[in-house]
Amino acid sequence: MLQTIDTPYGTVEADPDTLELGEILVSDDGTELEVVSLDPLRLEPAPEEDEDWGE
Amino acid sequence: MIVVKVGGSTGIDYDALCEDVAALWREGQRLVLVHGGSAETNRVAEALGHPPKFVTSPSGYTSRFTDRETLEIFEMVYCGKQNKGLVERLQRLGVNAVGLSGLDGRLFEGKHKDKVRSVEGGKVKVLRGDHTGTVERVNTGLLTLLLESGYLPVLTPPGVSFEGVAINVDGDRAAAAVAVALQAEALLLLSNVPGLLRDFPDEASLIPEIPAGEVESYLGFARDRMKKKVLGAAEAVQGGVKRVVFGDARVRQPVRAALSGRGTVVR
Repeated sequence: MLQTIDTPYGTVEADPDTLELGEILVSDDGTELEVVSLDPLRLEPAPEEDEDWGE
Repeated sequence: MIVVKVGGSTGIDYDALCEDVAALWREGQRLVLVHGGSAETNRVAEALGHPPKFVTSPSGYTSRFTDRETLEIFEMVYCGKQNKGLVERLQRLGVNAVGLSGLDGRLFEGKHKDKVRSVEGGKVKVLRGDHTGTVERVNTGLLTLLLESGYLPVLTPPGVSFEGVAINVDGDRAAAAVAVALQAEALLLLSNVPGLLRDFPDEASLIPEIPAGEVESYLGFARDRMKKKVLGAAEAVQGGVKRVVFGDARVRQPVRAALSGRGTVVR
């Protein structure tokens, strides 16, 4: 069920039961947040990553 | 000077490639050969119980996720079987080829990226523990030393990070970096398709020519691995390489065919 999750970087609407480690969510203020822990749920700003990678 | 990149997909005729390369070399054409080995790496990785994992970036690029074990399997195939297989073929044809990876003498140097963004099941995720990077510096001194001494360099990923860690770099873009560094007159990107196709896999839809300034606008026609080739072509022409050809490595004399304009020519 969708819940409102408050973070220091804005709020996120998400279903904690379907979240996965590493998943990126976008807060209402536009910050990209990475799921770094599921239990307890912890969201931190996602690392910036360009897509210029190897084969 | 020409730089020839041959892919690692199934169907490529390495004997025909080496015969063509050796004949051109004997005629005095100086060249550098860069190769891949993706299909064989996938097969060996499966056989070793560590199947390849591919990830797709949010903008649609598909790449291998290279954890440490994958990197070691990658090295076995690219630096071992594929590289030495080509060197042996060329030696048998009388060409003094020297096979090197991007690690050797810091030939391909770049930044290590340990995390990638991947689209999985509609979600964008950060994956950590990747060993990839992009070539930012080519050791032209070493290449020139070899070429001036009469050796034909046969080069392959991986590259090396600025910290000295092996990184999986894209072979097409590494070849483009080599072509720019050597200011090659042509970069030939040979694979198991006849060139860039407007309507993949319909080979009749080959795009014969692309103006140099418009390469990136053709990205939309490129599927999967071809995207990196188009990107590499754009980087090469921006870097001063006069001509890039997407050619077919399944035919006899594939290098001469590409040089004569068979395939997709970017200039």
